[in-house]
Amino acid sequence: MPDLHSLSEILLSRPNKPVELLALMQLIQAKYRYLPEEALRELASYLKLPLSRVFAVAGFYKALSLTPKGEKLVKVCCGTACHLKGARQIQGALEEKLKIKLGETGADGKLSLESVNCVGACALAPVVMIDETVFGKTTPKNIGELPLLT
Amino acid sequence: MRLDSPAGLKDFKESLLAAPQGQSIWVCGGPGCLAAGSQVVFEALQYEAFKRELGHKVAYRVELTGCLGLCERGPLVECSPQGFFYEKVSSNDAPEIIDKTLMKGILVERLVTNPQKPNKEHLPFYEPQNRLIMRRFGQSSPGNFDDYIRTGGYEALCLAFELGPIKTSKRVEDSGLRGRGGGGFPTGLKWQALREAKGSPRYILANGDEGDPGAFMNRSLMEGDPFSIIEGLTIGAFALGASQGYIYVRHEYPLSVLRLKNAIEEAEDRGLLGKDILGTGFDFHLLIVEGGGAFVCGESTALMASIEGREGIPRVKYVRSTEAGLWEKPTILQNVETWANIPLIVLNGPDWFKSIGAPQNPGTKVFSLVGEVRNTGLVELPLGTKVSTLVNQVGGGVHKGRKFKAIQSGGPSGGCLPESALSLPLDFDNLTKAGAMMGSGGLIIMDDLSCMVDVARYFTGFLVEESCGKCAPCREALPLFHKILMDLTTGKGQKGDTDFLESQAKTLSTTALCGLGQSAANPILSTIKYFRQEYLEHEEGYCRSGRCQDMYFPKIDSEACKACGACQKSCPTSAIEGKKKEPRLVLVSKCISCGSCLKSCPFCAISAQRRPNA
Amino acid sequence: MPDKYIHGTIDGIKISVLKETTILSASKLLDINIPTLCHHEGLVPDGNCRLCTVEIGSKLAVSCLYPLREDNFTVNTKSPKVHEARRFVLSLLIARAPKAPRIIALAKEYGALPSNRFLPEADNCIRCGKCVRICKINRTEAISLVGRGPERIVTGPFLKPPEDCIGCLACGLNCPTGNIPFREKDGIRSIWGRNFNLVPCPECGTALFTKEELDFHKEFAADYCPTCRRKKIAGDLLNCQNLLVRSN
Repeated sequence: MPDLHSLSEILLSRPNKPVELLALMQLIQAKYRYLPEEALRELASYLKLPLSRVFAVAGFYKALSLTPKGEKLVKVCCGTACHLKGARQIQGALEEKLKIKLGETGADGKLSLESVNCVGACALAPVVMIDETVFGKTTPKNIGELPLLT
Repeated sequence: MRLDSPAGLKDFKESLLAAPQGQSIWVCGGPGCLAAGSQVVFEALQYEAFKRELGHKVAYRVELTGCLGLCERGPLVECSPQGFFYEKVSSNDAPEIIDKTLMKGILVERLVTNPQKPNKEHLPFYEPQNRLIMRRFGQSSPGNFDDYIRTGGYEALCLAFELGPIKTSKRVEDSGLRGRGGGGFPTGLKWQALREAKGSPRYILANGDEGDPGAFMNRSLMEGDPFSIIEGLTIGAFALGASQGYIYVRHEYPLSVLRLKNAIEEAEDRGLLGKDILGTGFDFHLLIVEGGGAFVCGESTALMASIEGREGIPRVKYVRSTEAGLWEKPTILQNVETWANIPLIVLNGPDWFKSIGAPQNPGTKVFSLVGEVRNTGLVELPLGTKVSTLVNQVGGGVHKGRKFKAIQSGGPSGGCLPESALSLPLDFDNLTKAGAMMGSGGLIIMDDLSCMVDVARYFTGFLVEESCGKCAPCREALPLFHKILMDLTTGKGQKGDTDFLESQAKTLSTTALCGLGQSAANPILSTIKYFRQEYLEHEEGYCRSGRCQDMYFPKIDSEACKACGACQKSCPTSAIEGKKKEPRLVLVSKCISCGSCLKSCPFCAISAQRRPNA
Repeated sequence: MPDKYIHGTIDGIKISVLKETTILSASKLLDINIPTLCHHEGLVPDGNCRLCTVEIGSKLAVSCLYPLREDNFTVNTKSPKVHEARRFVLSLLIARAPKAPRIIALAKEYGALPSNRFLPEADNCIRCGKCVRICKINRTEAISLVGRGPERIVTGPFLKPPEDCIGCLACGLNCPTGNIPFREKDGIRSIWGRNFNLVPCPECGTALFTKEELDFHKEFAADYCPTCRRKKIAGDLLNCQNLLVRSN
C-alpha cells in the first residue's frame, strides 16, 4: 500500500463538495501516479459520496488510473497527422524496444507506454512525447536515440 | 494596481502607449515551435542580450509569443517594429539576431525566405489570411496584462458597460456569428434564448476540451491570448446576467491550464474579474475545470456532467441548455474561439463583422492545416475562402509529384472530401452539405498514398475507444464496424462489406443518443460516398494507395526511375535490387509491402500494384 | 386550462394530451405498444437502449423522453424507418444477450440477426443501467456502470462484491435480461456475490427481508411481514372501533 500521509493535505486543499470529485482525483493521481483504493475510500467519505459513484468516475476518465503508472510516461501521438505518417510503426517499434505493450507499465514501474490523441505538433509528425518533452519526426530507426531509460 | 473604473483603464492604456516600445524579438511559443525547440532559441536570445548588458542601454524585449502559424518552418521568430520574419531559427542564430536586429534593426538575410520582402505578410502562406483572433500573436506576450491592454484589450468590456446588457447582447445576436466548436449553431440564438430564459443562477461556459486528433487551434488560442477568452466570457456574463463561469480545458494541455489560471488571477488583481468589476458593481467569477481525458466531454451535456463532478456522459437533449443546463440551470456553452470573437464583435459592431467572410458565415475561422501539404500550421481565414486557396496557396500544395486525394475536416465527427471539394467555399453549410463538417477546424490533407479505408478505420477505432458506452447503437455498432474495416484493411474483407457498412452506418447516425454518436458514422459514410471504388478493391484484397500491408506489391516504373537508390536505402528487408545507374527492381519474395519505398521515392516512380491473387 | 393541452395524431389516431407529455405515455393512453428495455415507470427515463424509437414529423426520437410540446404533432410508431431502427438496435443487443428470452422474442419480431463478423462478449448484459438507476433511487447506490464504450460493465466498487448492497433484489427483479442472478436458501439470500441473512417475521416466520434492508429503512420499516402487518393494523383498527363504539 502506498504511503498516504499527504492524502489529507490533498483532500483539505479543496472544499468538501461533490463537484470537487474530479479535481481531487486529478490531484491524487498527480501525487501517487494512480488512484489507490484506500485514497478513493477516503475521498468518498470526505465528499460524502457513495463509493460506487467515486469508482465509476475513476473508471471513466483516461487521465485517471486504477493501477500505478510508471515514473516516466512515454506517449505515442496517434493524432491523424501522426497516423498518416506512420504512428503505428512508431508504436510497434517502441513496444519492441521497451518490451511492453501500449497501455502497459514495465514490471520495474519505471516506464509506461501510452497513446495520446494529439499534442499539437502535427508539423513534426510522427511525434513521441516523453513526460512533457516532445520529440518530432521520429522513425522506427531513430527512436533508439530517445532518452528513454535515463 | 487595481483599475476601478472604465476611465481608469483608459488612462492606464494611454500611459502604456506613451512609454517607448523599442526593439522586440518575438519567439513563437506555439505548440509546433515549442516542440521544434523554440524554448531553447528563446533562452539563447535572452542570454545573448543579457551578456551584452543591453538592459542598461536601450528599451528592448525578447519574449515568447502566441503561435505565429507556419509550424512547418519553425522555430519562428518575428521582430517588431520592422516585422522581419525569421524561419527555422536555431540557438546558433541567437548572437547574430541580437547583434544585428536587436541592436541595429538590421535584417539577418539568411533567415528569411525573401530578403526583399522579409515580412510574413508577403509569404503565400499568410497572404489570404486575416488574423483577427490571432492578431496578438507576434505582438504580445501571452498572459501579459499590459500587452493585452496596449493592444486594445478590455475596450469591448468598457463599451458593453456603456451600452448596457440588452444592446450588448443585440450586437452579438445581429452579428450572425456561428459557434466555432462544431456544427456552427447561430450564437445569437443561444444568446437570445439565455437572455429570455427564466431562472437563476445562470452559467457561462467555455469549451476548451479540444479532443479532435490533429487539431490545435483552441490550444494555441488558450496559450496565446488567454485574456481574449476571459474578456469574451465577462462580456457574455454581463450581457446575459450570469455571475459564475467555467472554462473546461483538456487535461493534455497543461500549459493552457497554466496560462488561463495566471490570466484569471491577474484579471482578478486588476479588478477585471471577481467582485465589482471596474467599479460598476458587476460581479463575475471564473473557474477552470480540467478535463479528465475523454473525447465525449466535448459534447455539451457530457461537458456539463463533467463540471458537476460526474462521468462525462451525455444525456438526451430535447430541452436546450439555455433552459436547463449546468445543475439544471440556464446555461450557455461556447467554444473558446467563439468567446474570443465576442470582444471584436462588441467593439466593432455587427456590420463590421458581417463584412468579413461569407453570407450566413461571417467572420474568420482558425484552422489547423496538417497532413501531406508543404506548409503545415495554424491559419486564420475568412469563412468562404475556397478550399483550393487553402490547399494550394496557403498549404503550398501536396508534396512534389504526389496527387491531392482528400481533405478531412471535422475530426472524428467529420468526413473526407475528394478533389471536387477544392472548388468549395470553406464554410459551415458547404462542408456539411458535402458530408463533412467544420468541427472545431482541424483540416487534414491527404495525398494518393493515403488509403481512405484505412482513414475510416483509424477514426472508427478512435471512436470505439472514446464512446462513452451509454447508448446501444454507438457502444455496440462501432466495434462491429471497426472489425469489418480492420478486415478490409488486412486482406480479410468480404464481398458486400461496403454496402453493409454504408446501410448500417446510416442507421447509426439516426439512432445514436448524442451528437457525437450520430456523427460517428461520418468518417465511414463520407469515404464510401466519395471513394467507393477503393472500398470495393479492398473487398478484393487490393489497396491502391500502398498503405494496407500485404494488399499490393510495389512496382518500379523503369522509365521514371532515376536509379537514385533512395528506395533501396529505405527498404528494411533488402527487397530492392539494381545495379548502378540502372532502374531498380523489387523482389516479390522478399517484399513485406511496408510501403517505405513508395514514400521514399523522390520521383514517385513506385506504384502499388494489385497482387496476382487479388 | 385548455392552452395546456395540445393535439395531434399517433399512428393516425387523434389525441389530445397535456403539454410535455412524453410520446411513450401518450401512446400508452391509446394502447399503442412501444417496446422498451431500459424504461421503468418509477425511474427517470434514460433513453439509452433506443428501442422505443418512433418517428415524429420526419425525425426519429426516443419516445420515453421526447416531450410533446407543439400542436399538430404527427407520431408514427410503426413506420419502416422505425422498424429499421429497432431492428438495428436489436441486432446489436442480441449479440450481447443471445440467451435472454425477452431479447430473443423482440429480435424475432423485428427480424434482427446478430452479425457473423464480430461478436462481443455474450455476457447477457445490455448495459441499460436499469439496475444502477434503481439502486440509486433506493438510496443505496451500491453498484455502478464502470468503464466506457464496449468495456462498460455493471459492478460494485473496485470490481468487488458491492459492500453497500442491502440485498433488496430490486436490481435483479427488474433486469430485462434476467442477468443478475440471486437465490434464497436456508434463510440466506445471495446476490452480487454476497450472502444476506433473512429476518423471519416474528408473527408467522416468513422471511422476506434481509437484516441490512431493515436496518437501512429503519425509520419506516416494520418488523412484521406485509401480510401480518396488514392483519395487525386491521386488528388494531378493529380494536379502536370497538373502543369508539363502546365509548359512544
